[in-house]
Amino acid sequence: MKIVNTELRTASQNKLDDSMIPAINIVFLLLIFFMIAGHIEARNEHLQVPASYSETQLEAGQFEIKIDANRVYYINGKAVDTNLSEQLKGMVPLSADIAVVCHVHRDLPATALDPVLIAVRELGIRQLSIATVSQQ
Amino acid sequence: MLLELARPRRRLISITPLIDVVFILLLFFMLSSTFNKARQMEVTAASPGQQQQHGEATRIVLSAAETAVVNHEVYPLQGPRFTALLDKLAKEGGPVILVSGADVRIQALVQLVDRMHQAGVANLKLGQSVTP
Repeated sequence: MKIVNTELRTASQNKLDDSMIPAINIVFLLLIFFMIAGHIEARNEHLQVPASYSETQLEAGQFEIKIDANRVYYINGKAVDTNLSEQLKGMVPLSADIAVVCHVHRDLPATALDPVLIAVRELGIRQLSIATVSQQ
Repeated sequence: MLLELARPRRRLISITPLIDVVFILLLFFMLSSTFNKARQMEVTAASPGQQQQHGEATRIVLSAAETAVVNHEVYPLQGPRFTALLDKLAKEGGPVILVSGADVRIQALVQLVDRMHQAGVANLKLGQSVTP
């Protein structure tokens, strides 16, 4: 006695598999989109840069000064004290053409920028940029 | 005599684990990717001498109360008077020194610098913050 019609079952399974193909295609497309369009970076709640309408793409400067929400200063990833000009002097021979990019937490008071401005002025650095994110 | 040999069964590879992995990858990229475009804003630091000068450069003092003080006159940042002032400064093309009060947030300072750039104020210098 034949209880289960295996042929029929296989056909229905195949039909189900076929109906899943568009969904799988979309998932693949979404995966490719997120892999290409997005970029992965470490999320740092203590360093959220301000938003601006600036169109200039962020370029990596020779010196990256970061000021986090705890007001800790970092030069190229290394924690330093607020005497930034001395710290910068000790790193490499400086010239006016050196580019400095400052990543500063948006909720800090403006006084947090003062050591950077003093250092830039003292060392005669002309290229100072503040890192922002696009507001659009 | 013809022997009927059992046909070797073709082994089907299930694609379900593959789809599972793809879903997990998709979730990972969706949750960890950011689309914030990193930008930069170029600024020039004002020298102490320039900060003290009142004759040549126009000195704008930004306060936390969304006002700016220019030549002892208070301008609300959102008002038309301040917009007109920025237009005038852009036309004149003279040096402008922006100084912020100690309690002004970086975001507010960047917003004003942004606005001044948009208004066409080219010769903008950033001075050290002042205590009220």
